[in-house]
Amino acid sequence: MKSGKKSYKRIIPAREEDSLIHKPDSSLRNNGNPLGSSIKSIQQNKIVVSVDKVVKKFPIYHQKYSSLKEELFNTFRKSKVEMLTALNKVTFNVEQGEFFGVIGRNGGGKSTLLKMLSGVYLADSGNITIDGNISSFLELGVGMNPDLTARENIFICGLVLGLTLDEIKSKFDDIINFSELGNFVDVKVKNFSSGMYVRLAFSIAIYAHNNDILFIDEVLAVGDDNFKLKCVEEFRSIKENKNKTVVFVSHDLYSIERFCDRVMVMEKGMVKFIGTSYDAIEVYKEILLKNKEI
Amino acid sequence: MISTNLSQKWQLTWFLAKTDFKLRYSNSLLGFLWSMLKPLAVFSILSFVFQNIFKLSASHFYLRILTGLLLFFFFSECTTFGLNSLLSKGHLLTKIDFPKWIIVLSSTINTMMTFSINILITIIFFLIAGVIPSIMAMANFLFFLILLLMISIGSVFILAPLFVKFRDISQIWEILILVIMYSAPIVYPLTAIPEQYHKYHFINPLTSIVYYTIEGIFENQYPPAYIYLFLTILFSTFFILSLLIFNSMSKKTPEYI
Repeated sequence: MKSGKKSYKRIIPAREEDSLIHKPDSSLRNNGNPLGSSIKSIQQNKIVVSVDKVVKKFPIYHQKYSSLKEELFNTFRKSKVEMLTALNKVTFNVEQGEFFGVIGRNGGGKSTLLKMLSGVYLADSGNITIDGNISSFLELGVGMNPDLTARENIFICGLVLGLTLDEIKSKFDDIINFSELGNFVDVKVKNFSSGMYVRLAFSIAIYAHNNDILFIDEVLAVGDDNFKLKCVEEFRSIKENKNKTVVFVSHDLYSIERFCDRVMVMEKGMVKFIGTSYDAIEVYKEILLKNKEI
Repeated sequence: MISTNLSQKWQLTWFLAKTDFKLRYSNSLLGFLWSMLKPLAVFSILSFVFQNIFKLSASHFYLRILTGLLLFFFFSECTTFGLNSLLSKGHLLTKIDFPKWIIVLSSTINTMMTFSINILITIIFFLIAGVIPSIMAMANFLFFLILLLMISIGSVFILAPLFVKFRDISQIWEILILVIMYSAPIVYPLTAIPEQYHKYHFINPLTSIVYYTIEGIFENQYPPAYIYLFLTILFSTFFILSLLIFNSMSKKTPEYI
């Protein structure tokens, strides 16, 4: 890792950058210092998502099913329960209007991080501060029920995502138009093809975000080519809107490079790197390569 | 956290209850008729067994059983259905953060819909039998209905997050429900039990609800005022306690799903 660092263009090691953001006195010093100008640019905006030394551990049960009996027996040998550290002192900040990408290998802690940002999981230690209202899309079609019609699903998903009935009614036609499902409004979703299902889910997600901070987990580019293009278009408009802040988890390096202002690389629950998308992808590729060699 | 006002939360609660009610019978032939047929079938079986085999009798024996079962069915439906509510909506809870009480409340509202159908049927039976309860008996019934709501919803608030963590709860609860049913004077009058055991029957929260409701409707007899006061304090303490328990337990619920 150490020898590899030199070859990058503008590298900001994660540790260094974090210390600058978290200590107000040192960041002030750097703002006045011409040498710190490369860091100055990221100090200008308001920080809306602040994650400070967050730790999350999960117990590993060999049998996933938990029961009262297990719990009773485990009281005598509780120390033997194995703990998996999903997030290990993760620290970063996201500014208003930023498109912040997160990449890393499977099991690197990306999705756990997003769940914690969304408030689904609570941190074991550390702080998560979010300044604003959030919409999170951890999966397509959250709240969708195959036994309900498209119309009912739009309402239920919208309500789950925090919209009021009136807001959903006003967006209803847009959602249907975007999903190109005009003829299937009152058809049960279980009769949809998987492509239609995904299109509906994605359209709801696109129109349901009335909040300023979006957490998105790999939901880009679904459906046929035409639909993909529309989705990319929609992403671009989110990116251009400087009030929207996006934290975006993906394995698709192409869209990471295309949309993200800054990218964080995660490896085994730790922050490996934070910097420009170009550098981050280089770091990520090196991690992949290293793992291949072993 | 998604910041929304209370009316949005209510819209979500109502919509979930409505669609769940629809979905519950969506693939069955008779649809929501089942919500009436099931209690009626149980009513027929029990009244047959207890009248013809155990030779129990009292004035308006069938109506007494029907009233008792109406109250009991609400409790048992509400708790067994609500028990599973958080787990069955696990796909939501692990993906998005929204108030978990909405799920629990919508499941109880769902049961209330069935209950209102059942209450209509009971009224029809009363009319056929020509029994019209007095105003006082109605007011008394309403009071115990509120207690029933408190104990049912309160139980669900404790059971639902507990069930997510310990899946044995559903088995235990099935047995407990039977204990609750047969220790309450639903299918037999309390007078059929020797008086010295009555105090044990009143440990069961449904006993006082069922007993005093039936006494009010059929005998026009009401408990003294201090009983009302005592029960109000007892049930509302339980309800508030259940909310506090739910609040602390449900925080970690998504991790156990």
